[in-house]
Amino acid sequence: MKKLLDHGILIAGVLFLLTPLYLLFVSSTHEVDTLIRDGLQWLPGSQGLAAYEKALNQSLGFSGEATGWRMLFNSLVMGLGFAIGKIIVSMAAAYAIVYFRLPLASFFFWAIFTTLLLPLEVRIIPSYAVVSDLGLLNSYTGLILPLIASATATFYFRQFYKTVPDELLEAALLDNTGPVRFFIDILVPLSRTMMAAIFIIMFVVGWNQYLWPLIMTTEESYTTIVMGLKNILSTVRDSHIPPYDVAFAMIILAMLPPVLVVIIFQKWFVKGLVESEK
Amino acid sequence: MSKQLNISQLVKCYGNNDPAVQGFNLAVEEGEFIVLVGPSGCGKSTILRSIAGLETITSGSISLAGKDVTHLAPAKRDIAMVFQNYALYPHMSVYENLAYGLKNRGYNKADIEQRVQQAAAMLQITDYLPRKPKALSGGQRQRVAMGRAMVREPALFLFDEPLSNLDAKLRAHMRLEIKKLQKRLGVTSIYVTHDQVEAMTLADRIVVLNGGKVEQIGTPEEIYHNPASHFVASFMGTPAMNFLPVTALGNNVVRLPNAQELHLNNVPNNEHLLIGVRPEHIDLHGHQVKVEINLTEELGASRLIHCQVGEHPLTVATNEPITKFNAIAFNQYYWFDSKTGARLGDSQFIEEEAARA
Ligand SMILES: Nc1ncnc2c1ncn2[C@@H]1O[C@H](COP(=O)(O)OP(=O)(O)OP(=O)(O)O)[C@@H](O)[C@H]1O
Ligand SMILES: [Mg+2]
Repeated sequence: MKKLLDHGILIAGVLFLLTPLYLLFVSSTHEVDTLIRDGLQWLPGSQGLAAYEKALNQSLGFSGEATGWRMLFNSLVMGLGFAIGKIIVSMAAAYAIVYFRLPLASFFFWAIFTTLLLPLEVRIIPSYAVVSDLGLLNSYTGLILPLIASATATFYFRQFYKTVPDELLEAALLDNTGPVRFFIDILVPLSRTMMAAIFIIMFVVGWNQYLWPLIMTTEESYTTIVMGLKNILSTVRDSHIPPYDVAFAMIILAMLPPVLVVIIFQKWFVKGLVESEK
Repeated sequence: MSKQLNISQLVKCYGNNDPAVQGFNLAVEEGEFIVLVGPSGCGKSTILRSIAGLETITSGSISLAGKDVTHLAPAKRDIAMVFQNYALYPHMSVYENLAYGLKNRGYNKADIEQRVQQAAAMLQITDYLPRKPKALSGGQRQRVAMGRAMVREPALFLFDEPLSNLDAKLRAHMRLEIKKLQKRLGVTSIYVTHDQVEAMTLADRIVVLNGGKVEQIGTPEEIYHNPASHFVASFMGTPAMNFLPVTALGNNVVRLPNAQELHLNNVPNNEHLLIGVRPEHIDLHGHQVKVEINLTEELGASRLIHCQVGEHPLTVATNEPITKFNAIAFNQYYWFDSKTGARLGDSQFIEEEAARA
């Protein structure tokens, strides 16, 4: 009886979260006219995956460069750049803070930490000015580099390193391990779980960036999928028929890669949690 | 100097605190097994870590195999250390754990293979070489930790309470293994423990520490039979030595805590006098010192009888089947200054003289 209730609650939760997605998907297989006339659809329509074909290959803008594929690729670069870049930078920062007798180490740590109080939105104008002065507008470097430092990730890695027993470092010192070797041979393998967790979070953060690429890029070839979602419905004005079917398809497409990343890395993540022992 | 390890005037202060180690001196022969023993916080680990180079010392010097290593990095000192929690690399297999230090020192593959296999065979861990440390029992991990120290054939082994995470039975077993292995390899070793049984059984020489200072250095026999101070006498030996405060009345007569007067040998002329008697040096047929029995602990081969002399507890260890008596005699005893803890005079065997009641 208790079990039944538990399952009931879980199923209700799943339905609550998945129903909108189902509606989106099913509706994307209908004609635009049906959607505009009757709203969201509960049953599959006649168009199959035609909207997806359009979403991927049709260009939104004027230059013909901003196809779905291109936008997905741009977003992927953002996601991977964020995830990998942030992991590398914050691991190195945390390593320096925890393992080296730096003068003012804790000052630097708190300095990094206070940047949490200054999100992009607060410093967007100076950030833009710097990137523009460096001539990095309309480039992947400009999209990723200014946002690559992460106080959150640095903090997580710092906390993790602090749980690594000192004896491990001492044993390594006796085994003739230098600072670089220790980092690569011992800390990095021990941090795998942590890296997987940060990767998931930061990939999604990168993928979902909207404001920064919107301001940073003027060329259509740098449009990301999240920007594309917005643009596709603003084409209403030109054709007078908002292409809802394509928009829905694009929403589904935009969601797929982050979901994949979560699924793949979650396995690794859970495995690491179960296996890891310091 | 032909000594393998020479430590002179080692002082270590952490920050601005009182020194954790104050002027430690020790000279160790090649192949010797030295055990540092003392209560928690007396500076044992600090000394060991200073020798390893894991702590920078405040002053003093350390030389190993004729070379001054005081300012060398740990890896350059030709020492290996076994840690209390083993400190095995969790993500590496047993083989990789053993091989890692060799690899970092530029040994070639064949050489590494041969050394690892040899150490593994000696420690009987060959079957576990492909496993990760977490798939091993405590005793097996302990062996791996020993193996990691052995493969490099260092000039000095350091052990920091390597057995304290094991259960009593395994501990006794591993103790023997370590002793055998050390004798076989002939490597000079320094072993830290707060377990005095471990100290007695393993050591060629014991260093008893208290509050960052050496109380006594000597063979286990010397430490046991000829303790240099009240602290050493009370710390070494199970069950612990009994101490009774007594008053010297002159003419080798003392007054015991139960107001009884007793004639003993070589009573020092000291104001604050403490007599120390080991539980196993008490004669149950002596009829000299009146005692009251409180409690008997059965240990199988022997038994401990907890008595009282006046207000003061006195433990008797015996293997005689006696459970009731009301007077005992001291076979062997030691004199201490109860104020300074210093040892007074020499140990004496009691003569068969009647005590005056
Ligand atoms: N990193 C440190 N910073 C400050 N004080 C320390 C540090 N390490 C040890 N001490 C102090 O130095 C003294 C000696 O410590 P040490 O670890 O050598 O004791 P120990 O004899 O090994 O004790 P135990 O048997 O509990 O391991 C203690 O008073 C301890 O508080
Ligand atoms: Mg210690």
